[in-house]
Amino acid sequence: MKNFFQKKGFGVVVFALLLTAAVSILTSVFPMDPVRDLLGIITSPVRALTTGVAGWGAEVWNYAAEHERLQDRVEELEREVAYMQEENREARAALEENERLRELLELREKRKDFVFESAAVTGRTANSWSATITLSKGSLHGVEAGDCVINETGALVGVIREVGTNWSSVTTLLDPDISMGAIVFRTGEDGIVEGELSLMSQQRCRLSYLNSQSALVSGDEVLTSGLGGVYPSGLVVGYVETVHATPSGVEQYAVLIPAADLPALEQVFVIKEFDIVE
Amino acid sequence: MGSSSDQARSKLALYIVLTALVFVLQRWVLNRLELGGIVPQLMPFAVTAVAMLEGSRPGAWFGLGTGLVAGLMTEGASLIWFYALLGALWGGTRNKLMGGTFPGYLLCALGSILLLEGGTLLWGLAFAGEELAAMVPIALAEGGWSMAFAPLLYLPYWLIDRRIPADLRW
Repeated sequence: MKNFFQKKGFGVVVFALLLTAAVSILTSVFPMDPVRDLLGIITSPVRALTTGVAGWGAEVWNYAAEHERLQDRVEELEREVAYMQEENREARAALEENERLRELLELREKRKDFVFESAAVTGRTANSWSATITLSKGSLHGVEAGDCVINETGALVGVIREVGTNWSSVTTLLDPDISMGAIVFRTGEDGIVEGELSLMSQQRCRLSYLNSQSALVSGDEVLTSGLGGVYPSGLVVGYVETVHATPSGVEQYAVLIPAADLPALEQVFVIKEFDIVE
Repeated sequence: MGSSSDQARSKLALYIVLTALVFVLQRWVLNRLELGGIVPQLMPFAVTAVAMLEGSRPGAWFGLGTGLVAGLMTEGASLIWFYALLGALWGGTRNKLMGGTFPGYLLCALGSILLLEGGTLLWGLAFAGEELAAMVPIALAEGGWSMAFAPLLYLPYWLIDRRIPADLRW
């Protein structure tokens, strides 16, 4: 038996098993252990370099692979732009009379209280089971786990999950681990924004726990509710694409198109401080 | 050429450099390509190739080291024992049947992917509350994409082994 363990290397496997248990316990006791933090710091330049090179390579690859799809998309977008320009004209005419838009404007006024930290996206998920991104800022810059991350237009990207010294990782809206209170701007209905494996590759997430009588329509805007004061309210999460009944029929859920273009993110903003809106 | 132990050290250094490149490729390059939301997994093939060329014990140690770095950087401590297990398992096929041959490597690479995806499915079902119907398409796509890279990955490891025939000693 001893010979078997020595020759076949299964003694190493047993040692590896013990090491796995030790590392698992360490990482659960210390959410950011020094070894992982150090690895994060050491690999920062590699991440920055490869992000640049990979960005260029990915652009070439994606252009070649998806040229035809992109052409169709351009035509579709041109139609959408024409439609939206028409809608925009109508919306502008009604702007001053619209109570909800006034509330939204008030909310934007309150956003002056936000304290932002600008960060570059330096890495992305390395597997098919989650949707996270790595940022170039960490605890040195005041970033904390649980901080919300938005893009330049104020659309929600995700929530800081883990913070190293000069880096941090973000659970995006597509990740199955995300769960956040949200409200539909037009109707005032609330629900929970969740990521789902089956929707992740389509760049979609879902709004769950909607009433069975819910009257959401495609295009409805979904915002963070801010209930509980953990996350800021009024951040744009996305737009309703389709609405479905759950198998039990008791509830409905909506498939959302995130407002932020998650695959194309290069620069984001971490909300380090915000006022809780009751 | 230096002594046998010098050669073994050089060979190990080349394996480590090559595996680091594979890690960078997977961690920061392949995940930026739009492959239907799927990221191919290359690291199991790196461990499989070294194990098949060097044997069980060196394979298991190499797997442990690779798993330690990959696990700490990708938040998956289970990779430590998983890669060590791959190294021990596939290293055991060296000099047996098709062991050490290209078809043998492809079979072991397929085995690695089946173990990885099977383990992920079981984990998702048992601990993450995911639905099998949602997980299977992703596992199949990830496995398929990964296997497309398996033949290419063997070549540089095989070339190192051909160039430096000294065995790694652990």
